Amino acid sequence: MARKALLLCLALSVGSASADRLVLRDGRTFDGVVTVLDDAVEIELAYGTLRFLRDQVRRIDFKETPEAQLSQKLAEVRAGDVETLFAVARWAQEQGLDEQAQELYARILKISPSHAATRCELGHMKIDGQWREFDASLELARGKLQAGHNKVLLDEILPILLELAKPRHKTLAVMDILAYAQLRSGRFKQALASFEELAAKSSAAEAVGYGAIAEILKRNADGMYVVTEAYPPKTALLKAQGPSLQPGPASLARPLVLQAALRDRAKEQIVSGRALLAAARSLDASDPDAAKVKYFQAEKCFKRADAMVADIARSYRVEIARRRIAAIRNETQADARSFDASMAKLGSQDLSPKDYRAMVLRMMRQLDNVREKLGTIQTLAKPFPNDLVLEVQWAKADLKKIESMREVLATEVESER
Amino acid sequence: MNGRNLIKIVILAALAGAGLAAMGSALTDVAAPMQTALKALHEGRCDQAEQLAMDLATDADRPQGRAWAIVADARQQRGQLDGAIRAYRLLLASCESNHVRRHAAMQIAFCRTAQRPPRRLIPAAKRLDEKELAELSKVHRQTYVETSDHFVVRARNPHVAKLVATEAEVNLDRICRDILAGQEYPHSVEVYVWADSTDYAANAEDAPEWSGGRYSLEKRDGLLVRRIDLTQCDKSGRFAVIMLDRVLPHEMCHLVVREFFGDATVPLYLNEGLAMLAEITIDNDRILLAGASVNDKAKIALRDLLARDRCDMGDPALYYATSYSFSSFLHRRLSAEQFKSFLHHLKTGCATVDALERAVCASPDETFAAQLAAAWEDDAAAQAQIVRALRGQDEASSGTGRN
Repeated sequence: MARKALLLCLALSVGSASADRLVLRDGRTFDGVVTVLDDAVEIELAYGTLRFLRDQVRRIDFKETPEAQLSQKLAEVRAGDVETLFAVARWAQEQGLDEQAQELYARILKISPSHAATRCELGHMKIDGQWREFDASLELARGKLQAGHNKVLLDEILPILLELAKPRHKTLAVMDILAYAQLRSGRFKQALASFEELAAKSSAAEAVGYGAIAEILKRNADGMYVVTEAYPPKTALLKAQGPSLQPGPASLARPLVLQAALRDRAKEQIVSGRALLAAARSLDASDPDAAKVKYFQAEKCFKRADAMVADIARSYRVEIARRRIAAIRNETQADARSFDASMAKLGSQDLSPKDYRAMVLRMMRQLDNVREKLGTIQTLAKPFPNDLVLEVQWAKADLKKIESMREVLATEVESER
Repeated sequence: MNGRNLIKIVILAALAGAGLAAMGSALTDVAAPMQTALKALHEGRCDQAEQLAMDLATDADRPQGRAWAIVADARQQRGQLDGAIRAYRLLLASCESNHVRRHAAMQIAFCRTAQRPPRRLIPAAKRLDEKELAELSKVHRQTYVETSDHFVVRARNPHVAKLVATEAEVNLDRICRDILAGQEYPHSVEVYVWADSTDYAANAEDAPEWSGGRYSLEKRDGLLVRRIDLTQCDKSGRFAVIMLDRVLPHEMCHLVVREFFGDATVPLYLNEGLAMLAEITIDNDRILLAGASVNDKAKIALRDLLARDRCDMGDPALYYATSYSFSSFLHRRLSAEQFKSFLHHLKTGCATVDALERAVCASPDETFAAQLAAAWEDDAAAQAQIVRALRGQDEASSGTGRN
């Protein structure tokens, strides 16, 4: 009985990982987790639970738990037998015993630090004669890219890193290095394919940047880009030290040239955005809704520019937020005037209790309307807390005032009830 | 399958493979020679770059028109400007990309400017002889009117009226083209040249006593009246050449800038700086003063210069010199397109530093203001050093240095 209870306990604890076998008197057989009840036996199957009376059951074969099997397997491993230990570790991993598997891999590496298969299972990679974990390898690969060691990256490191990245969901990070390494070593076609793949698989903002590079490579299949302005853009103004480009033809394999090309693309977006911004400004007073649409379109252009070159159009986005906030503030001021008029009416007119209540409720709705607008101001200002300090402070102060006024009105409605 | 057939298949497969390989290399070999030429260009091996690019551009089977960009650049770097222009033209003719065509057109213009630099305006002080100056000093009873495309000049000397009308057109063209980067000015301006300072003070409304000229932009009966008041003769009764070389372009620049900005506020340093920049004769003392002040406690720091809205505080001479120095620095360092963009951003309400970052189309940087201040101060010091060196040369050549 005690053994039965123990087995039942084990069966329940391991869940679906262990498979007990239930053999019925009519010859049917089921594999699942068996629970023995007072007068019946239940078996949990993948598609549901079945219950049978004890009389229907011929036999129950309780299976050992993976943990127990693992202990048994480990007991059979001879000391120092790294290969058998590795086989057991892999088996454990297959059984979902990840923690135990990791412990066993660690034990193997203590015995044999260069055990390649174990290193591979752990996502380690040997670079420059030294085994490194996946993330460290990725960082080292980035360093090699910056140092211009493109050949070793493309021929040796990245093919392995790409394989290791798959189960870790870090393929895009490796693909990014691969694409740039291909570009910098002049393999423009391969780079184009890689950047296109990255653009297709990345999140929206990153996809814009990768897509822009792919477009540049497509338009300049020979890898030559004609730089039209000195780059970096502040070089001429500040006579800054450091590498720079002068206008003229240059190879896209040079990082600075790609940056200049991306800046040109971003600039195109800024030019489009500026035209829309100017149109929005001119519509501000006469047609605020049309202006809002233009601002939205302009912002999209500026966001695309920012996705190509970090923050290049930020000041325009701040300007849009500021202008939209100003427009909303104008609306809220009109709402405030209307509220004040209602307030004056409330104090001066002799209203019936019903009308009084209706008036107070209307005023509460007016306040809710303003509160919503102030919320929009806070949302608009949120990405630029340092640029729109005053706007945020005003909105906060106004919200506080509105909350307290609303509280007074709500109390009034309650007391009237 | 007998052995002979097997050999045939192997040979055919090998040939097919070779064919595919050849096709593959044909597809990729567009980039390789172009990259070799670009590498040579980057490393300063212009001869080699030109030759490699020329081979690509003139390839009988697959001419690469874009390679003309390398040919042109290599020639330009070596100072072969005619050859560079020819190559840029071939690039223009064979290129599908708008931005490459714009580059080619711009470089052709650069080459032409390098070949024939625009003639520098000779100041009236150096151009007019004694006889002409004597004629221009005469004040008649009658007022003469001279008109040009943009100006109606009234003066009490027909020669002065004619000369001022001509000079005004030349200056307006220069200010709009060179200083304001292609700004249009489709307006008419009344210019009054008063006989002397007394006459000027009596007729030029609100003009400060010390000034020799003023501009005004007033609404009169619904019309916008643009006016410049000048003085013909100095205190000794001689024709005031300074009026032509400095006062006229200075006041005209104020007028054009004011109209360009419309209702927007023109930063004071820029308003004064550009007006001084418009003057035909450069005042070297300003350059020296700005340069010397850089390492002086009394210097006007950039942030103070940008914030000031009045020039009568502290030391006006230093303020004017500093304004000139910074405006001149910006005008020299920015391209014409960037300078125009800078003015547009100022007009839409941007602060100077933000307008500059927008004009050069760069990501914002917290250290930019400090970097800008440092770059300008370095430039101010360098400009002053050049003026000192030139003065030293002049003194040495005239012998004053030895005495």
